[in-house]
Amino acid sequence: MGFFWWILDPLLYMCIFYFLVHVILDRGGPDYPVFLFIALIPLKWTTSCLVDATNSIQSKGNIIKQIYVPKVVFVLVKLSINTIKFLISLTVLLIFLVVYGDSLSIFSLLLPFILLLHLCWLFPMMLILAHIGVYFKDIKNLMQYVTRVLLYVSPVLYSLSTVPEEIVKYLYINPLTLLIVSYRNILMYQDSPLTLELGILLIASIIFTLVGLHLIYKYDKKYVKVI
Amino acid sequence: MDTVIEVKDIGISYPLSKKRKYSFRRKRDNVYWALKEINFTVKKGEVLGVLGRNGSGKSTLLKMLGGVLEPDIGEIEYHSGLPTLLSLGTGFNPELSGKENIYLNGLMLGHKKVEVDRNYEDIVEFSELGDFINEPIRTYSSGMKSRLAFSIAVTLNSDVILIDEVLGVGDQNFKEKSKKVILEKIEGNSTVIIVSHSASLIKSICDRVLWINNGKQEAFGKVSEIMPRYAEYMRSK
Repeated sequence: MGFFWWILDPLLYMCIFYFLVHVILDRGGPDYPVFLFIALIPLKWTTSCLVDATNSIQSKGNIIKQIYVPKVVFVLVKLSINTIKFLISLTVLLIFLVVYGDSLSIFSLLLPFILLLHLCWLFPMMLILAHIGVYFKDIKNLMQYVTRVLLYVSPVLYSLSTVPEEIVKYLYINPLTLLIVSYRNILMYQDSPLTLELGILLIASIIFTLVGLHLIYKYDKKYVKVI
Repeated sequence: MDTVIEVKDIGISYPLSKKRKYSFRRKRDNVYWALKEINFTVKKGEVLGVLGRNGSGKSTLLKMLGGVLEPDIGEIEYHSGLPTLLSLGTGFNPELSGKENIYLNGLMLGHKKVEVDRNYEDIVEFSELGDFINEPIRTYSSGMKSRLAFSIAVTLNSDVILIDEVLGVGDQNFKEKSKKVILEKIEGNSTVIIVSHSASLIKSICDRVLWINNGKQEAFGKVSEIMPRYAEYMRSK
């Protein structure tokens, strides 16, 4: 079926979670599907990017042993593939939002900016993971737990208002929390995104991008030795 | 004759096994020098043979010349473009057809699509694959794959070609053809660096030879001067 999977995949993914939380656990209000999917889809984008990044350089040993390729290319490829898949899912979600209710507002027009910011944060994380993945091969196994933890420490299945207040501030350390809250604000609650926090995230992302690129270029021709 | 590549005292080290004893002192010598103190020049239009036993560092040297690895010490000066490592089937995708792989491989070797377009017919003809070119590579025999890879690498021109033991590809007929085309390349003013442990091959096509032993440069010079020494060394082993 090939390409069709790219559309079917997020749909099935959303169905599973909807079934789990809404039908089996019987939690969440009538808005719950929208609430859930707005967070799930960016989460899936994030985890796929991070997981794919860890062996993006390491798994291309047969190529980089024979031809010089700037290693950043492999990371960009994984980022592009996952971003395109994400954009397809997002289209499905937006159609869903338009059909399902009238939660969209003028704030929804900010979506491209938040997506861009999200991308700016993913790229350096992927660079650094790709670098670590070459030297520490077990990271691939570790990523399973990282993605699981990311699901639980991000307000995907729950809303921050249900979390005890003294814990909420720790959840904000997770950049994904900022992004998910912002996605929900603009797509569901007719509210503005967390502008200040996202500004800080942008600055951090720029710094990490410089660090990540520095690493990848410094070790550009050294990866071959250990792969 | 113009010098194409100048190799100045290069060396490369690999980290040894990660098991480190607990110690506060930093171990500085926890590396293995795969190659050390290699010096030679390559002249335009010549065929340079790199000779040595298995594991002596020949392929590592080629990778450094091809820009895949970077020497830890010393430097390599290129007076023409970066040489292409004639590698067999780099990045071949088994699900794609031979035709698609020709383009993929060609682009990976740094050629433009129009260059591949221009040479496409020659590649197919040289590879003797015929109609199989439109079948996915996974249906090919290993000999067919190697023939296709060799045809791509040898048809798409570059100034300096690095060859790693590829003349063993295919049957007798194809081997002869490969050797012939390499000799033609040389006449067409291409420079070839070829790695082999076959003394007879080196004797028959090379002008000069670099002999590497255990990562050290044993000798560098004319084939006629070095080959008797190499033969003697191999006998004494």
